[in-house]
Amino acid sequence: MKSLIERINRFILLFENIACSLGLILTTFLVFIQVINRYWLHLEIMWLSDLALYIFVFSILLTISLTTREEGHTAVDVFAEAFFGKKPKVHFAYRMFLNFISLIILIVFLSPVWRFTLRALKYPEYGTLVRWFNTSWLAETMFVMLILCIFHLCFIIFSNFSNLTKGNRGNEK
Amino acid sequence: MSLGVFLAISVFFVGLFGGIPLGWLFIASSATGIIVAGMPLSFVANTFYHSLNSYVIMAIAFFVYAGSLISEAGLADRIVRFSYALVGRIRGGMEAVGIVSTIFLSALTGSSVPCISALIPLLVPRLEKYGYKREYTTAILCSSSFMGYLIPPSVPALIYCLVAQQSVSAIFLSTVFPGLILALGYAILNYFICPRYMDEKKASEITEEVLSFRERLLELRNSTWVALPALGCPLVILIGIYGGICTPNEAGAIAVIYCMIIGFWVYRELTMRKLWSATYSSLISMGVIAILIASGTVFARYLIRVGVAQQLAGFILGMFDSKVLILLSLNIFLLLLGMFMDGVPVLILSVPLILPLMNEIGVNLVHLGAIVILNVGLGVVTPPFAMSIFVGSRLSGCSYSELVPIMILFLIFVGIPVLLLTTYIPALSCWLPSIVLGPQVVGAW
Repeated sequence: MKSLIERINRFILLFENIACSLGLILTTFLVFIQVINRYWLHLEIMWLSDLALYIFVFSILLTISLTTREEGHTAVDVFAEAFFGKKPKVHFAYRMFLNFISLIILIVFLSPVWRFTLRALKYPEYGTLVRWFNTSWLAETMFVMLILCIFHLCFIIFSNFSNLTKGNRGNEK
Repeated sequence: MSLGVFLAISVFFVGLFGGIPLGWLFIASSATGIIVAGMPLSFVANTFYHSLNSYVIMAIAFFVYAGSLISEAGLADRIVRFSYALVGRIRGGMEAVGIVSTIFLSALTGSSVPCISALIPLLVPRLEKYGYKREYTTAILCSSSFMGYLIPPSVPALIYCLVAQQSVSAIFLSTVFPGLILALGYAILNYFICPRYMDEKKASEITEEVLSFRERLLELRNSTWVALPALGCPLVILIGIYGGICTPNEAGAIAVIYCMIIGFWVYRELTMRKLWSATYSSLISMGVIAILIASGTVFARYLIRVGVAQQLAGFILGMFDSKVLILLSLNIFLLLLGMFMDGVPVLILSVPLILPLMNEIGVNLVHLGAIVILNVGLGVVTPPFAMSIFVGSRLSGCSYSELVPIMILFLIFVGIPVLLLTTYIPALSCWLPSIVLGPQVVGAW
């Protein structure tokens, strides 16, 4: 079971890294090509900027889950540091508690995002924010992002918990 | 104030001081208020999604990416050498090299942390050999790092434009003069206090080569020639935007491609491994900014929807009847927020709330942009939550307590006076955009 979860985690890690980095590089080149087209070839391709924005929104949604995986989201941790900085175990447990709170927030957020995604699935014709492409897929990506964030937080809590228990067992020995 | 608003604000402050990641906290606070008020939660998902669907966020991502690339591609090193040839031989000049390098790097990165990350590893060990104490160099680089917010292109300026719906070109120009005054102020203060932080023993061991005026000019010419490709990047961005050739997000994409070309084929320091490292660090930064913008917009719109912005405006107008005092209280409010929060959430949360009040007292929104960005920048260098000190101390090996006293000097004698000048002399921020873009873009000030 543990190895299966780790394999899934490795696959998600690879997917996020490739999707986000390719998305960023592709967006950069598409926008650059648009400028070249305008001044060099004198040919404005109407859908190019829409495509760039489409890919960008897709990849930026996934960067949120990538940052969750790396525990990189900004928090005001000066007070936690001041209170628990000198007690590493308590600090570690407190961080686990914060991850747990974040997980609960995401589960609450899941319900409106699911309804938003269902609407996008049911009425794809409403995805007309960008003229050339079906933006309902982006709404679905938001749901995927949230599921990935929940997975990462569960994985972090699980790993931290197993580290904590291992540490305790080591101390007992 | 309704129960929903009271609970939402309470959840926010408890979570803020408890250390919950701000992105999730904004959602939790909004959801609390919405659930208690019996409003539909679909507002949260809708606003979250639509706030990310913007070309301005794309521009932010490109400038962040360009910022990561410049340190990996060897551009920072050339800029430091050029700055040394420019100001390195005057009294305290080695520290002035740091300030001048920060100005040039600011025009490349658009943010503060990439400036510090690029300059501390390059300058601190070198300057230590010349007798400048490690903590002093680190403190001066951390203090001047927020020029990254003031010299265009600037990521906080883009976020301000996104929130306040202002012209990107005008806001970019509004902070140029305050940024240059700040750099001058830092250089002057450094001139007077640097002997206190010199290790005389080490300094006397170094015998600097004495150059004639002609030799100095030759040295400056050579280093300028080598740094020319790096110095060309800000020129490309600024000419592109102000020449009407491209939009800010196109300028950002050009900057990224330019840095790649210079790194791969001109300086030949960029490898695939370094490209991946720059891409990966940009993705993390983008993830942080994206969640803050998306969920921060949800919370800010919730507060506006329930009338908190109007109530706040009414409260402040009831307390003070003078514009001078209102602006002073605004500065104190933003500085206090900046002491505990990162710049991006401060911008996203505070700007929508103060806009009605500023409209009421007739503050020009370009001028307001300069004031807010300066405050947010000062927040980056003001303890206890000062991102620049955290990064600076990690990179240089100096402790937090060694850096803070020196940085406080720069804050009190330069940072705060420049903020007050910008607040009470609108011409400092509005004159340049009016001249370049025309008074109709900037409006009356």
